Amino acid sequence: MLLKVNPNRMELLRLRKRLATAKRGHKLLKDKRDALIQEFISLVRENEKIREELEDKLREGYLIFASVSSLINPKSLEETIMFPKAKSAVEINFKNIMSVKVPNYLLKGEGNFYAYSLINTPPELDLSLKYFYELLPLMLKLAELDKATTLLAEEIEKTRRRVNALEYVLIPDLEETVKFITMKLDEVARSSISAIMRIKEIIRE
Amino acid sequence: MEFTETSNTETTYAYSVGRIRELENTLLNKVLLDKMIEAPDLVSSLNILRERGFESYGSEAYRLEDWENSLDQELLQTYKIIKDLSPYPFLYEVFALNYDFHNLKVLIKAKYRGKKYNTTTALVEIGTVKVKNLIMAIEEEKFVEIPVPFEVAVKKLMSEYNKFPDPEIIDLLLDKEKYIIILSLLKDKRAPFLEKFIRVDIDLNNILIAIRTKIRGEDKNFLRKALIEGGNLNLKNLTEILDSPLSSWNTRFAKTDYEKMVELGLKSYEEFHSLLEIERLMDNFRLDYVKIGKFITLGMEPLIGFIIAKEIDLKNIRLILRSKLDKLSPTKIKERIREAYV
Amino acid sequence: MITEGVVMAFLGSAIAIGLAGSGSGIGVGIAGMAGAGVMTEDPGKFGQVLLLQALPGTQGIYGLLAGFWVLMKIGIFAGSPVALTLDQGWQIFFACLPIGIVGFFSAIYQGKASAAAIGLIARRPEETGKAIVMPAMVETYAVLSLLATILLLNGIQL
Repeated sequence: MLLKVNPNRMELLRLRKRLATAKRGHKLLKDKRDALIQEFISLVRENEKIREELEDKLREGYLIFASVSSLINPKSLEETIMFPKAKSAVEINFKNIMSVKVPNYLLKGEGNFYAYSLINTPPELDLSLKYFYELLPLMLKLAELDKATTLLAEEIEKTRRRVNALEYVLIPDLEETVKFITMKLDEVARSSISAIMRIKEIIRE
Repeated sequence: MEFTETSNTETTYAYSVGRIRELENTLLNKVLLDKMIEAPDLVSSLNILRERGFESYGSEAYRLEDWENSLDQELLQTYKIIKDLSPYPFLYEVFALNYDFHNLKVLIKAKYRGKKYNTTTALVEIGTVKVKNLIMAIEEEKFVEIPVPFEVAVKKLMSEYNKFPDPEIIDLLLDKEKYIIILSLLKDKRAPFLEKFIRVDIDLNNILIAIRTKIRGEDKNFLRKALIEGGNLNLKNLTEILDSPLSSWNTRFAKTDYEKMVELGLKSYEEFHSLLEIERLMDNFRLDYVKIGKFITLGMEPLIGFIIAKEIDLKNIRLILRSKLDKLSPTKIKERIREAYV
Repeated sequence: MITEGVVMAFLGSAIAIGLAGSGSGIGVGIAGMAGAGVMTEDPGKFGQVLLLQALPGTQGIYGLLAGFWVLMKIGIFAGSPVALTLDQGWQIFFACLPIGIVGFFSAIYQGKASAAAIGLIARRPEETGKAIVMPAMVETYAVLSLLATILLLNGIQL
């Protein structure tokens, strides 16, 4: 589509400059997109690996916990864990991947998670709670990766849209306009030449 | 299993023991347990229980809450019977105190936890003191309706907690107080069998506390705070062994009744990284100790045997049904099941 | 005529009846308590329980039998007691001791055995026969002591 510009030499110069910038931007964005995709794929792979690991471990953990709860009256179990001593919080930092701000979760646990009677509670409960507690960092890691992949995916989408806009809209438009202006200018030049030739003829007669 | 000097001489127990003998028919035997374990699924396992005349374990209990409910009812019923049958109240009280302290813990934890906590799902209607009296004592701090030893324990806990608000204190302190009250109940009661049983119980708990402390990696100070006094084992020695590696612990219990149990239990921990086995061995040890109740006609032994056997029975049923729900293999369940009394 | 010998004979008779009877009372009582316990849960076992409860009761009957034997021997029922010498009186007194003492203790222990047997019936109703044999073994010694008392009484020349 032609841009609405006055076909004069000034405009032509300006458009040519814009075209050059657009082409350079296009190349840069394309590079960025490729790099992002590479990063994204490695993140997805890591995510998958950790998710599988976590799922296996959780399954194991639930089996251990099931063996605990099959040994204790639910009322006693409720009494046992109704007043926990441990408090946990998550600290969030951000790091930069290809100018995308990706969060980094850090577990800030305080207090012992064993805070219940040592008699009349299945000793396996200790092991089960410890098991789950040790899984927490892995869960946070997975959450971190999940968030990072989502953010990266959005960024890739955005970059690709920009690349496409440059490649299929802006650059063709500019090129077309430049061509149009050149043609227009050429025509003007040609018509002035022919006018001059006509004037020359008239003068000679 | 051992005889004490009052074994088989106390004719006051003749009626109770007669009833207990008949009630022992409601306990599960090994054949029935094995059948339940071998059953293909949860429903057929429950049906086996019911076909053999154990309707009391719920008629429509196909869901987890339902059968838990019927197990609770059965426990309640058992304690009601024991209360009826005990010629002396202390016999019932020694065992019911466990539930008083369960309720106390629930109420105190709910109180200090802050926010409205609905305790109704956790309270148990067994015990020497009515639940509503306990509620009044804890929530409004009016101690008129509860026995003096309870009041002392609760007040001690409250002042301790106000000084140092750590939830763990509630458990550690009340566990100790519970055994103090139980042992003081038994003083001058001429009940050597029951007293010995309580001391064995304390020993078993102490051994487990020491093992758990070691595995958790806590220090001697913690262990000292957690150990319960009144058992046969020397608490000082128990704290000392915390320094040595777990694998050498069985030698520390040489020449006590617990040597074999500790050895097997710790071997299983080293092999499978699980404490299920030692807990099972301890339950079996308790059951083995009270099994003499089957052979005594005039004494409290059959009553004590019945309480312990019933509690272990309920544990076994819960274990089998839960494991069926989790689709555990029969061999796995058999590894975890406790012995049967009858 | 009432002599010192007759008084001794009375004392012997009283010991035979009294001791054996109270032994039976205690024994039956113990068995009865156990039986009541069983029947609280299962009233259908009344028949077997009753049989076992009655077992320790026999000593009392034996004692009564021995006591009557003495009274008959010295002619109380005939109206005029034989004028026993003190020696004869002592003889009768000692003759009464076996059933009195053995009856007392055996009845109590038979009561305990019965209570245990009642427990056995509660658990295994099909073994009633065997359950009855156990306390019945105690009966042997009560019977032997009754036999001894009777033989001794017969040996006394009036």
